[in-house]
Amino acid sequence: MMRRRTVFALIGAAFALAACSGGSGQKQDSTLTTLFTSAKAVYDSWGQPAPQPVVVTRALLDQTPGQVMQAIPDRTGLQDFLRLIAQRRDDGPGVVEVWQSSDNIQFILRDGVLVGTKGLGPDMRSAQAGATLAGFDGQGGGGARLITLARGNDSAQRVEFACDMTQMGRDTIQIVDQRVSTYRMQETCAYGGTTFTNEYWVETSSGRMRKSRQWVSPGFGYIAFERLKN
Amino acid sequence: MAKGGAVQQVIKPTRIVTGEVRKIRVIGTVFAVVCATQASAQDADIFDVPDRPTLNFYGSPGLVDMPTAESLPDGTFAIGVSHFGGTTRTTLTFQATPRLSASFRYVGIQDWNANGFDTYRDRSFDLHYQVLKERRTLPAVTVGLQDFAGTGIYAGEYVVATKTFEGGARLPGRVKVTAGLGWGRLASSGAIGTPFGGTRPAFDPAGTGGSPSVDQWFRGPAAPFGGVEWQINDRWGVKAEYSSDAYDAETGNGVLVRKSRLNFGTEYQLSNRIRLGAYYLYGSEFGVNVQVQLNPNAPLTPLSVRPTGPIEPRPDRAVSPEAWSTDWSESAQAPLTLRDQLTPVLAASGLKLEALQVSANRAELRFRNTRYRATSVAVGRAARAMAQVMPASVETFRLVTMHNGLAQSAVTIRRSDLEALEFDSQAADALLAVTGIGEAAPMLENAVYSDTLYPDYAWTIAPYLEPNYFDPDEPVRFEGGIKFELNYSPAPGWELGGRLKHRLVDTFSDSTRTSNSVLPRVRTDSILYARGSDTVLDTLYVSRQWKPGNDIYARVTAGYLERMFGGVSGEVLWKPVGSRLALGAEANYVQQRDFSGLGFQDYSVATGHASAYYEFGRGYLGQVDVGRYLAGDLGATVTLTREFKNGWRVGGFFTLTDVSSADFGEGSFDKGINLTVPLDWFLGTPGKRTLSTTIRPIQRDGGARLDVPGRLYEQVRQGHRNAVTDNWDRVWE
Repeated sequence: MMRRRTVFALIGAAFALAACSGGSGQKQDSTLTTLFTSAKAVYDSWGQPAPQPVVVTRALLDQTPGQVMQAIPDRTGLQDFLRLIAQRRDDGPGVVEVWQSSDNIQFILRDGVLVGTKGLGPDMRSAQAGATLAGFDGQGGGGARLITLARGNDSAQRVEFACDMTQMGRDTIQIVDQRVSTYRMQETCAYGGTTFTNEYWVETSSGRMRKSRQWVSPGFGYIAFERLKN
Repeated sequence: MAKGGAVQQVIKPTRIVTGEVRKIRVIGTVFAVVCATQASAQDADIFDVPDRPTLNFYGSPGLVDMPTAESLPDGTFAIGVSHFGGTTRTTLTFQATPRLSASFRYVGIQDWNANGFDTYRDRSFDLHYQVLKERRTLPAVTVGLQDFAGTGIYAGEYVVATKTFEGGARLPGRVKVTAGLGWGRLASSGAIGTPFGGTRPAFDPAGTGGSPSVDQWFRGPAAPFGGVEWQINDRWGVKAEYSSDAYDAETGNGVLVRKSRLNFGTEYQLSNRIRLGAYYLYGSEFGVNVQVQLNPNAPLTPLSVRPTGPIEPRPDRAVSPEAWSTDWSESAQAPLTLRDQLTPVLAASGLKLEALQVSANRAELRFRNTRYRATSVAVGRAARAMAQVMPASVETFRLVTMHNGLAQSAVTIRRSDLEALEFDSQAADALLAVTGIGEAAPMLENAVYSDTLYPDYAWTIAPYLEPNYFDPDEPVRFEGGIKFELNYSPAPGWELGGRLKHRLVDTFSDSTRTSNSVLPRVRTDSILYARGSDTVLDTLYVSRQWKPGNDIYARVTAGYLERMFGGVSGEVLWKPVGSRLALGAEANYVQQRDFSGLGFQDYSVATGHASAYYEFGRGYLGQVDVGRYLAGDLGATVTLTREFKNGWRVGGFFTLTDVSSADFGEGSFDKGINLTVPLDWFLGTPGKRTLSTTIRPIQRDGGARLDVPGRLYEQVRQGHRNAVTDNWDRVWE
């Protein structure tokens, strides 16, 4: 361990001495320098312990101005808190909300249904939510959802998923110190061999989505949202 | 969560994009190759990850030493390094189209001790074409030409069929059965007849090679070969084959003893991209094979761009008409104020404002993109920056991308479309449908210009490493050292550029291979240049480029244009914004530089080309250059390139001139491979830089082109309609 660190330090020193630049614009580092810096950052972050999850309390929420959404991606299981940065009505169904993570990833929701992400890499570029929102009427239902997914080669793939919405009945969930009475809904979508299943918990009193677990993309998987504070 | 800091301050949130996956990948690529790639197997079948065939000792889909009829997934690069019995083959295979693949191989055979070689070293090219794809009942069928352009010892042809069996109740995994018929080397053992007649000449080590040996293909005796591969599970596989290769040349020279026609092996899939194999060949030798498969479509680190804030819609006109007033446009100060407001917003996205022209309801922005390889990302960000800054009455945005003083194209977007479509269920397609991409005038009238952009300069001191391939004594030679680069631009289109290099280490200067060329030694004196001096003024030039018309681009460059030549160069290019075709002409008068210092040698030449460029679509690009080359020879170069949407480029080229094969020397004519890999493919952060290399089997003096900095076509094309719309999916990033 120690030896690897020393080697890195020496290479780093060599590069620091060898590579510098300047100019009226922001001239970028040389290619070799960039590769090295990137690898160094990676190396440094190895072996750091995963942060402990935070138990959110009412007091903590009260200190926080604005609305708060908790987000936990399946693939890391780690928790982040999102900030509402925009709220819009447009020609589409529902109200659009843009939520931003601490590392500047944006999640775009229409009445709580995920219709886009920005900054992830394997993003959901855009999506229809009409069929899903129509299924929240308590009757179930479903229909086609066109979802545009980013691909690794910088293009996007438009996929028409066939979705079914199932009413799972009433469910009381715990959000921080509140017990919230909800309708629970399950949406199963399929395209060829790919399927995903989203779950939604919609507050009975307000019709607002309080909790969900939604699929983003093949490369990112699922993410769980919980609306902690309105 | 800048505003709602309380939660964050208390709890230090983790990030949505955990670096974990990315980390493993970057380190793997840059330093070890071997530990790359755990992840990305999660790609669900929605992205249609096709079956990945395994490679043989020749680095193409196959059994142990024999080929199969399989194709690699479209676009895949396969690198195979195999070793047995003193023979090491390093092969790069590229699946150029779904059916056609090409391989380039470098081989070293130890203890050859004949034909003037201690260690026999040679380059060879293969082509494989899958005639039939596998069907439910029919096998895949492939025709292959091995070492088709040489007099090398590997020359052979084959027709082979492979059928996959899967899902049997008794046997887990997947079984592939292969049978084929080989000619040439692949018929040196167990021949059954001569179906197409003819004879084949023996290997001639003195020949110049390099030309397709059409008269030999499928001639002489033919022999059957075949084998079975059993892919037991995702990790392990075993192979057994019957080889039709007698290894005549190797056994004749005592390199290896061949006791059997049967070969066996077992392979282990180490990661998504890497497979290792161990084998027992020809009844006498153990062998190993390292197989790496890279697909440009699967980046090592997915590219992610930090998003901008959503567009703030303008207030309702009926509710607040005063916000829509056009009075502001009467003020002479307004354009200056808007310019100053817009500049930092653009800068946050890596864009530089060059000029701005505003009126009450239209605005044209001319800007430079310093960050995004995909022009569409820059256009989308510029549009949103305009929506953030411009007064409500400005409805039409014209966005003109500039590259070194050249206006590439004008993208016209209505602001109300931007506002309406940002969260549309098909946001990118819907915006493209209402966007115009047209020609841009050379200059913008009545505009305010950036007062901070010029003089523009940049300099770098950095280490460098330059490889050079296939010296007969050494497969890869390289030099490394420190370089100093300067670019100074006093005004739009003008540039003073230079590069000074100081060599610290190299493996060139001990080479004794000086030129034996009978042509003017315009390229083969590289060893003398390498010996010349450690500190070298690589380039130092002044250039000016401009647009004489909307579709016409021009450039003049003078100075030390490259390491070996200096002089003057002029170029004109015709490329309408929406055209697939471009035509260009370049004329140069250059003199050969001294091996060291700033002087010149006696040799001077007028060289130049007329060029036609064509975008075939789906990323295939073609180029033909006809003209006079550095050695004074007349001829043409044909280049075919496949460009992936994420910036990978791989191309092949060949040049035929009036120089005879004998005068050209080894290889008969000039040919090679160009490879460009964008750096952001590794790093996952946006950037325009690339790593490029040109690999030639051998560098001779015939068909050599001047290496002028800043040729026009690529500068212009990247901002034209096809390039912009190809990546339009990313416009909202």
